[in-house]
Amino acid sequence: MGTIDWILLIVIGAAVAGAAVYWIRKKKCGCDCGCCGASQSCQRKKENR
Amino acid sequence: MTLRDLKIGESAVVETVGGEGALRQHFLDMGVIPGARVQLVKLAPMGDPMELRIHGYELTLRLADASRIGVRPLRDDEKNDSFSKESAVGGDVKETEIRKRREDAEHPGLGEEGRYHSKGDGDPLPEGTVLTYALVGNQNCGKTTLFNQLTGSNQHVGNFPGVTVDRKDGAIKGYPKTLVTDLPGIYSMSPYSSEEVVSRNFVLEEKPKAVINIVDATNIERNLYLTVQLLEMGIPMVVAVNMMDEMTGNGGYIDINAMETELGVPVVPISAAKNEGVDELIRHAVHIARYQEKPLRRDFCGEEDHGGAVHRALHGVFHLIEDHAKRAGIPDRFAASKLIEGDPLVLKALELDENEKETLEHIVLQMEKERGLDRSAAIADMRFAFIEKVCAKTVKKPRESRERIRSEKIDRVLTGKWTAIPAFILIMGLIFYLTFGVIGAFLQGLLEQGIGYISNLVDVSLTNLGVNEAIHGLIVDGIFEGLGSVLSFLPIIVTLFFFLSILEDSGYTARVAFFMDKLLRRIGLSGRSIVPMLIGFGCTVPAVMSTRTLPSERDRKMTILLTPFMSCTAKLPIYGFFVAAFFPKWSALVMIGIYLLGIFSGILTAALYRRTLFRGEAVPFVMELPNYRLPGAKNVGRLLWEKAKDFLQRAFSIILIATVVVYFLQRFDLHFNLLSKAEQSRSIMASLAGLISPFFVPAGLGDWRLVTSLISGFMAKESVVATMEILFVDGIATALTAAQAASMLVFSLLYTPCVAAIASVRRELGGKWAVFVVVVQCAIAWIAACIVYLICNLVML
Repeated sequence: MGTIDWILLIVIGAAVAGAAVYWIRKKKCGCDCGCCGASQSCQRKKENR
Repeated sequence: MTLRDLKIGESAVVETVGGEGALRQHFLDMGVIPGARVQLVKLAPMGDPMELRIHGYELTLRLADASRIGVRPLRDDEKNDSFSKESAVGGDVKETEIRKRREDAEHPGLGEEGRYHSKGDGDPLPEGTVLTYALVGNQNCGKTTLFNQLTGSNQHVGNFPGVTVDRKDGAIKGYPKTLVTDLPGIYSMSPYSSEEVVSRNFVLEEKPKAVINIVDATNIERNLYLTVQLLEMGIPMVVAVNMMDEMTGNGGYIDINAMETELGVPVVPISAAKNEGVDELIRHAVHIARYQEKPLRRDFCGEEDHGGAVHRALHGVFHLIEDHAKRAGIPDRFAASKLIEGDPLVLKALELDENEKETLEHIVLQMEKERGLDRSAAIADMRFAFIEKVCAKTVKKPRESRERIRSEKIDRVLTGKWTAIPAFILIMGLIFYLTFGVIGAFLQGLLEQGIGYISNLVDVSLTNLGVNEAIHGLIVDGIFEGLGSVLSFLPIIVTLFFFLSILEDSGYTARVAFFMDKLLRRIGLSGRSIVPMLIGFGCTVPAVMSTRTLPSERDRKMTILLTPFMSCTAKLPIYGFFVAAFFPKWSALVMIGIYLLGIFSGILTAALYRRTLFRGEAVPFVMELPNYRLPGAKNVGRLLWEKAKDFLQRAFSIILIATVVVYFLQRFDLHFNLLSKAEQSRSIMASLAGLISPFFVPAGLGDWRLVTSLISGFMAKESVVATMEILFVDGIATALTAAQAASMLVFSLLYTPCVAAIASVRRELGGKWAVFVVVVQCAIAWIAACIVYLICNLVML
C-alpha cells in the first residue's frame, strides 16, 4: 500500500462515513424535508422535542 | 327521488341529505344542504361517479352516495331562472353603490393601525414575540402558491386537490420574527379526513397568533364556509381573497370594504400567482397578530331566521358549556356549534357531565323540531344562509369564466363517454414512449456515456498511478459501476416527473381519478390511486412518493403495497435477457404476459388485502374538479429540481454505502482475500447465496449464481443481468432450462423492489411496512415461481 493508496482509502472511508452520518441524522431527525436542521421546520421539531 | 335519478343536464333542489357520521357532515360542508340547487353535469365513462354542479363549482360523487341525497324537481318559477345565474353567487351590486360605500368607509380600517386600538394603550404582544400564522384554506385555492410568495420558499404546488399533505413552515420575507405554517387544504373544521384533523388540531392546539385564511374569489361561497368556522374560533384573522385577477377578468368584482364590514376582519384582494396584493396582506397580517385584533363578528345566527330556532339553540349551548370550553382551551362559539353538529372530538374534550349532556340533547332536539332540519343540516344551513347574505351585498358575480368554458370544451374529449379511456391510454402511452423511448432514454444514454468516460479516465489514471488492485477495483468496479448504473436513471425519473407534473398542474390528474374510480373500487381503492399505480410502471420510487396525495391512510398504505406489482422499467433488461435467450419466437407475447401477470397478481393481492389487512371500503370519492390551467414553468422546474435533488441525495448516501458493501461481499472471500472475477464463486456473497439457495430449489432457482444475481438485484434491478453475465461464463442458454428461465422471469417480476424503493416505503410508512413489503413480495414471487416451474415442467414432459 503506497501513499496514494492510503489517501484514496481515507477519502473513500470519509465519503462513506459522511454518507452514513448524513443518513443516520436524517433518519433520527425524522423530518420529511431531508435538510436535517437547516430548515425552520426541522428546528421547530427539535424545539418541540 | 334521489340525486342518482337525475338525468344529465337536469337540475333539482336538495331536500334531504342521508348517510351518517363524518361523510354526511362532509356532504353538508361541501354545500350539499337542503335547499341547494344542483345540476348533473355528466357521468364518468363507466357510469360512476357523477359530476355535479353546486354553488358554482364542480363536485364528483359516487352513485351510491348520490342515492342518499333526496332531491325534488325544480318548480316552474325556479325553472325560469337559468341555472348558471342561480349557481353563481352574488347579487347585482351597482357601481354607484360601491363608490358611495368606498367614500363612506372609515379609515384606517380593520387590520390597519390606529382604529381598533390606540397607540400606547393597545394590547400588543411583547416585543420579540414570534408571530405564528396558520395558512388555512380550501383545497386547490392557492395556499402553497401564497406560502411560497410569503416566505420565498420552493414548495411544490399543483392543480389537484390535496397536494399539500403535511404542514410546511417558513418565515415571511423581511420579517424574521414570524412563522407561517402552510396547512393541508380543508373544506371545513369537521374532522372528516386526516388533513382536516391535522389543520384543525394545529389551529386549536398550537394556538397560532393569527390565521391567514385564503379564499378563492372565483368560488367564494364555498370558500367562505371555512372562513365562517374560523371566525367562530375568535382568533385574529386576515382574509386573502385570491385569484382576483381571474374574477375581475371575467367581469366580476368584490366590494372588499363591504365584505370587511360584514365579516369583521381585514379582507385583502390578492393574486398569489402574480404576487399582487401580497405586500398589503403581509402588513395586515403582521398588524392583527401583533395587536391581537380579534374578529368583530363571531355570531352568524339570525334572530329572525326561521323563528330563531338555531340562534336560540346556539346561544343556549354556548352558555351551557362556557366554563368547560374555557378549561379545555377551545373557543366557546366554535365549541357550541360543533357540539350541536355532534362533533365527537369536541364532546370528548369538553368533558360535560351527564346533566349537561342531557340538557344539550334537549336543546338540540327542540332546535331540530322548530327548524325542521336535523342538527348538522341546520348548522350548515345557518352558515350558508349568512354567506349568501354577505355575497348578495358584496359580490358581483362574474360571467361564465373563460377558464370554465375552456375546461368544458376539453372535457368533452378527455372525460367524454367514448373518448375518455382511449384518450387516457393515448396520453399515458405517449408519456411512457417519450420518457423511456425518446427523451429520457436519450438523456440516459448521454449520462451513461459521460459516466463511462469519467469511469474510463479514472480507470486509466489509477492504473498509471499503480494503485492497489483492491482499491482500484473498489473505485472503478464498485463505486463507479454501482453508483453509475443508479445515477443513469436520473434522466428517466426527471423526465417522467416532468410529464406527470404537467398532467397534475393542468388538472388532468383529477379527471383520471374521476373516470377510473369505478374500476379501482372493485379492488378496494378509490380513483385517486390510479396515478401512483401508473407511475409504478416507470419507477416504484416516485410511485410510492406520489401516494401522498391520497386522502386516506388506508388507501395510501394499500396503494403503496400494490405498486411493486406494476413492473418497473429497471426490470426490462432482465426480461429482455431471458426472452432473447430462451423464448425468441414468442418475445412479444412473453413480454406482454409478464406485465399482465404483474397486474393480475396485484389484483389478487388487493382482493386478499381487502379481506384481511384493509377491511372496509375505500374512502368516498367526494372531490372537486378544478378548471384546466396552463402549468407554470417555474413550478414545474421547481418540482424537477426537488426530485433530482432528492434522488441525488439518496444516491450519494445510502446507495453509495450499499454499493461499497456489495462490492466488498462480491470481491472478498471469507478469509478476506481479494478474488478475481472468475473466482467469485468463493466470495462472501456466493457463500451467503449458497446458504439460502436450497430454498430456491422448488422454483428451479437453486443455482447459487442465480441467487447471487437476485440478491444483487435488491440493490438495483439492472445489476441482475450484469451479475449473471459475470457469473455465467459460458452463457446462460446452456446453463438453464426453459422452465428455469420462466421461473426466473416470474420471480424477477414479483420479488422485492430495489433498496431505493424499499427506502421510499420506509420513509412513507415506516420500517415495519418496509420489511412487510420485502417479505410479502418475496413470498408471492416464490409461490408464483414454484407454480410456473411446475407447470412448465409438466407441459414440457
